[in-house]
Amino acid sequence: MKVSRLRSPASFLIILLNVVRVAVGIVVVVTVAVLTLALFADIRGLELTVVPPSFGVSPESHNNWTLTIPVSVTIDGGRIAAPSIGIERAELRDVRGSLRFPLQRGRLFVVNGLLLILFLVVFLWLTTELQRVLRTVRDGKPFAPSNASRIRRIAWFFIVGEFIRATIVYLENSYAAAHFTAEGLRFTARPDFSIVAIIEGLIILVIAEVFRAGTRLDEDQSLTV
Amino acid sequence: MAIRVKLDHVLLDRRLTLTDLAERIGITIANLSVLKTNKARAIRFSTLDALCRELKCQPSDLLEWSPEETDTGKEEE
Repeated sequence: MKVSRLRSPASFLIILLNVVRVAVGIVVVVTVAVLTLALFADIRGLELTVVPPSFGVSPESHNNWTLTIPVSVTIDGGRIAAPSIGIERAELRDVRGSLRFPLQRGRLFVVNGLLLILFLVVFLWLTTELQRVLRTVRDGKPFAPSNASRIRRIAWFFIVGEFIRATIVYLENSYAAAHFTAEGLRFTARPDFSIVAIIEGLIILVIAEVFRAGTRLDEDQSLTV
Repeated sequence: MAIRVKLDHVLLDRRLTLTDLAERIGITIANLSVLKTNKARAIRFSTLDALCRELKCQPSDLLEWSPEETDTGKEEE
């Protein structure tokens, strides 16, 4: 009975994920097409953002291509104080933000373009896995052995994905620190590791194990006469 | 599984078919077939009770333990 009550929300989510998958699929095709075309043709106003990954074309605002990368900065000087609570001097440290700059066609463009495509393909894979799980729920067989494996893969996606994201952010920070200068601030390279994403992954991993146990119990139940 | 179900022997002795037995004890043929072919993981006391009552036998007439088929180490937790 519990399963049949879940069928309706599952069907709705399957439809929703279908829409998302089609949309992401179109974005993947368009991204690949535009980025490939950009290597050979003169496309103006191409904007690439690494984290969070996105791209757009706005010919009216920029003639050049632009790349936006995550940066970490330390602000030098500039007196910060809070006299009302008796603090004479405070420091603004490890400020994070995004740096947007004109980009020349070259290796940096190709690397960031590939990262963007990779992210979209991985997102497409994630939605496909979720949809497969939901289909089994809709069909009244949520405790299929394959579901535990799928949920485990999603958990590892969160854990490994966070390490990859943190590495990309660190490399982009390093790139900015090596090449950019600004008055009153210093670009620094600092790991941006989110423990929350890892905990999320671990929670999903626990759910996957619970699911595996549930699958075994379901099998036992179905073979109990 | 070290426990074997001897339902087919008892049915033969009583000259009963699986369908007849299923109807008499109110269990589906599919479930009885799982039991008869030794695919069952567990048997409920209520099922055993119904089988013994209808077949007029003891649980030991239906179940048999064979040591050579014990799957040691396969049991989890």
